Amino acid sequence: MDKLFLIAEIAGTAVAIYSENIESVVAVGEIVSVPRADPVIAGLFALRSRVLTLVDCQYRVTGVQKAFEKGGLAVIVSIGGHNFGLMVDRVRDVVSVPVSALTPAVRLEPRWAALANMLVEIDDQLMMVVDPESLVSVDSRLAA
Amino acid sequence: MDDLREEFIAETRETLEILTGQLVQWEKTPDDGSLIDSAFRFVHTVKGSCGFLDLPRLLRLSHAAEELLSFARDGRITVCAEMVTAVLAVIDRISALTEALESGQPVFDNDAQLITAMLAFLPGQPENAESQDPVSATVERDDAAEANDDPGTTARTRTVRVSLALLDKLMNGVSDLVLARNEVSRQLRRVGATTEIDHAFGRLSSTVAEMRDAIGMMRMQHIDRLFSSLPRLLRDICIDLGKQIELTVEGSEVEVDREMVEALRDPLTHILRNAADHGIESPEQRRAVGKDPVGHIRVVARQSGNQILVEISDDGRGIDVEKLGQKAMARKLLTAGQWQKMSDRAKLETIFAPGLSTAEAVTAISGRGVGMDVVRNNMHAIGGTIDLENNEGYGLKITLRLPLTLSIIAGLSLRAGGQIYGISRSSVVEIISTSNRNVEIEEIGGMPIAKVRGDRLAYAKLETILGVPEVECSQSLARSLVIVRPAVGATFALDVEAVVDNEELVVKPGAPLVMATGLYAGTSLPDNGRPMLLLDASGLAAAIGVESDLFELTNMRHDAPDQQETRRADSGLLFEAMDGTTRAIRLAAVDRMEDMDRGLFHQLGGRLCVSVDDNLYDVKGLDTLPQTDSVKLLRLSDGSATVFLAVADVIDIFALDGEIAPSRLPELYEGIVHVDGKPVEILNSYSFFEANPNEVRSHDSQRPLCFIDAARNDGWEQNVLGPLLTATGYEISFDEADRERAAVVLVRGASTGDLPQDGRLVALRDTVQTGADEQGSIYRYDRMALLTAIESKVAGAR
Repeated sequence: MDKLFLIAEIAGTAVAIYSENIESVVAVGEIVSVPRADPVIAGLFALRSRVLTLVDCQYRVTGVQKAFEKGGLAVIVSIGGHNFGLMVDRVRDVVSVPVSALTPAVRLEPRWAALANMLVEIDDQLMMVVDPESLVSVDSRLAA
Repeated sequence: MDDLREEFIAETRETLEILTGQLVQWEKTPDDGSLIDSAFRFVHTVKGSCGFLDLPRLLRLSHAAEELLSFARDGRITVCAEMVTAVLAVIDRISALTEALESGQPVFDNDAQLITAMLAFLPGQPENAESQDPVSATVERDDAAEANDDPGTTARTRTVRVSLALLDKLMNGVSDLVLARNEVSRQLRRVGATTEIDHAFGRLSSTVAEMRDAIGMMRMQHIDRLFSSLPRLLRDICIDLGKQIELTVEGSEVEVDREMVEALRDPLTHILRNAADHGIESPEQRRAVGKDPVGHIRVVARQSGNQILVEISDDGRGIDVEKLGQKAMARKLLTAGQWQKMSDRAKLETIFAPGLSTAEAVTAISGRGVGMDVVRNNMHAIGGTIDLENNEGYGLKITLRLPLTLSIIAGLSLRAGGQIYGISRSSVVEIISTSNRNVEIEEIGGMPIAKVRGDRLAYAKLETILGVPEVECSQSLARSLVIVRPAVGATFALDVEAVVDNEELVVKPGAPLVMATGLYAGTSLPDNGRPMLLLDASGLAAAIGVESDLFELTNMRHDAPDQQETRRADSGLLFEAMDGTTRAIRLAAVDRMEDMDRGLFHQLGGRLCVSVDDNLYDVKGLDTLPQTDSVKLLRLSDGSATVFLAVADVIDIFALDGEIAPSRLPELYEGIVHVDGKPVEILNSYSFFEANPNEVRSHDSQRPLCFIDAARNDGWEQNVLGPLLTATGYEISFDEADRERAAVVLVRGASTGDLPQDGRLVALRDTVQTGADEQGSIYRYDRMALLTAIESKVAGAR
């Protein structure tokens, strides 16, 4: 059985995001900041008639906030009934991978370990499989 | 009741559909425990539902089947194929009766036989059917009654059950549609559409609007869903208390958002219990005071504008205000001195203080002191209010006011740190400028406190709470204080950069990480398409550190026992007019007070004007240019138009609670009131705005643009037409670059046939008579026709 993954770059690292949760990839126009919120929240933005929360994936990994640029790419996912935009540096490709190519992750840096628990080999390159849910959950900010 | 019945039908039908497959399976494997369980659950549910729906036939059938199946479940009898057949026959009958409920068709009644056939499998059950005879007799009577009742309801509307998620999706889709429509409308205006396209677009618009209304209604439910449980609730209370109470329910057909129905359930139950327990006296007491021994409680719902009113009135003893005071004093909530000074209304509202109840004894039903404060908090949490009307000895009326839906709130948008935030208007008590002389910001022990007309309130800048930098306001206008009364916590003063607008906001919950801040109630997407965060009043109170009511209570004790009262009554502003007389004006008409430099005043067209931010406003109350360096002006507004009223000084604010005597000059003065024993005329604020109908247009910064298609040096356009349009309130341009964005395009002396197709075009001609090629043009000196044509083009462009 094959699974579809979106290959994107977070903090300069290529990661695979399981595509079942992904709605689309959009360029974000304007954002509205959310004062006092966890720094991982880059802001709010509108997509058609919905309000989405923009998540700074880089902050989760490096602890350094990524400066928002107009037109920056965001991967739109729906988690727990809420819609999020995951801010990524770049979107490379969508690839189909056999389930057998997935292996459990071993010994990752703690910040990455909180986000990825699987690895996948794509074109001879080993990539982390990022779980979008771990990016936006309230608990994981303790880990980050 | 009809709603419940419909729901019962839908539910039963749905379960039956699922059950049918299992029943077939059961016939093959009669001793399968899980299948017996399913059948048992089904009849059990039916029995439970039809018990209070008053459906005797269904009740008897399901009861009998339940009994048999419970034996089978416990293994006390072994299930055989014959028994399954008997049970299935009963289930089929239940199904038929359920359908009959909807269609109104009578079903042949041999229920008793079916029941007997089934119960024959019970151990120790007599084989003969003699003991069942009385049952079958009553059954027949019921059947006749039902057959008589039902034909009238054959035209019942059929319903389907739809998941809420699907409804929400549909709603989002329609919102998208509206936004897309707005975008198309903008584009059409830009490119200039033909009449055909306009027509088609108009149809699209109205269809979209209709659809949005319809979808809004899909979320609505009859309040009967809530009310139908009340008679039963009251009956139980009556039995417990040994009282006789008659309940009247009106307005069951009023529709409210389904979430609101749930949110109302607890407060309403509380109030009803209180009324039955404390309000209504025992039959002996009632007889002793000459009342009908049977108590009466009336629950009425009605819609009033965008609010739902629910009134609960009883004819009991009402609230004994003095006893309430004694309780409050006994609990050290108040001192006797403060109680003396409090207004009647404030006294009555002590019932909302936590831990207070007039009940002598704690009963199982109420009197434990968790009551009215919880009710009020619940109401505030859903954006509603609660009012009391006490008639001591004769009853109490409680009015609950709630918004139509939870998902659309009347909101106020505020600016802080250059960003716009929303807040629910129901939690905002008042907005007042920080430059108002009734406002003082003082500091006590490092904590800033705002003193507003004598009330001391906790104070904080919104920027400080949010941790964002303050933006220096270029217009150097005074900041605003928003007085907020949260559902939980004490009233506080929120200092914001500006109050921007008043609008209806669709509330969406925010992501958990956003809500985790505790400051926001959700997000919203206003018409401008920029997301907006909604502030949570209670969360802000917690951030300021006034999350408990303690602050408010101390405040009530020492400062202003009457604050509730003064806020509710209309207030008047007492001032000294320029001629030295003392006058008053309704405070609601006054936006704020400003000191204006004399250089800003101009004498134009026989009127005195003041220029503020490049707009000219009329000044009333002053005839000539001021002699002093600056003049105090009251900024008056009716919502759109603004005028200023010159005053020598502002004296005080007073409550307009006395009688207003009519004035001899009603066009100038609304009436005469007595303030501190002296008669004072109240200015008729209306007269300031009716005097000049053009004011709205000429002071509006959004003046429609007229593009005049002529070279700048063309004498008539520049010297005659231009000034006419400017004076009427249009912006004019001769610049070709403005042609695109203009609302109206004016062309003179061209053959109308040669002109491009443009809906904004107004053609002018030089002669009174219409030439052959000048169809549809207007004579250039026909002022009325010209202005009317422009006006209609502007209206069309909007």
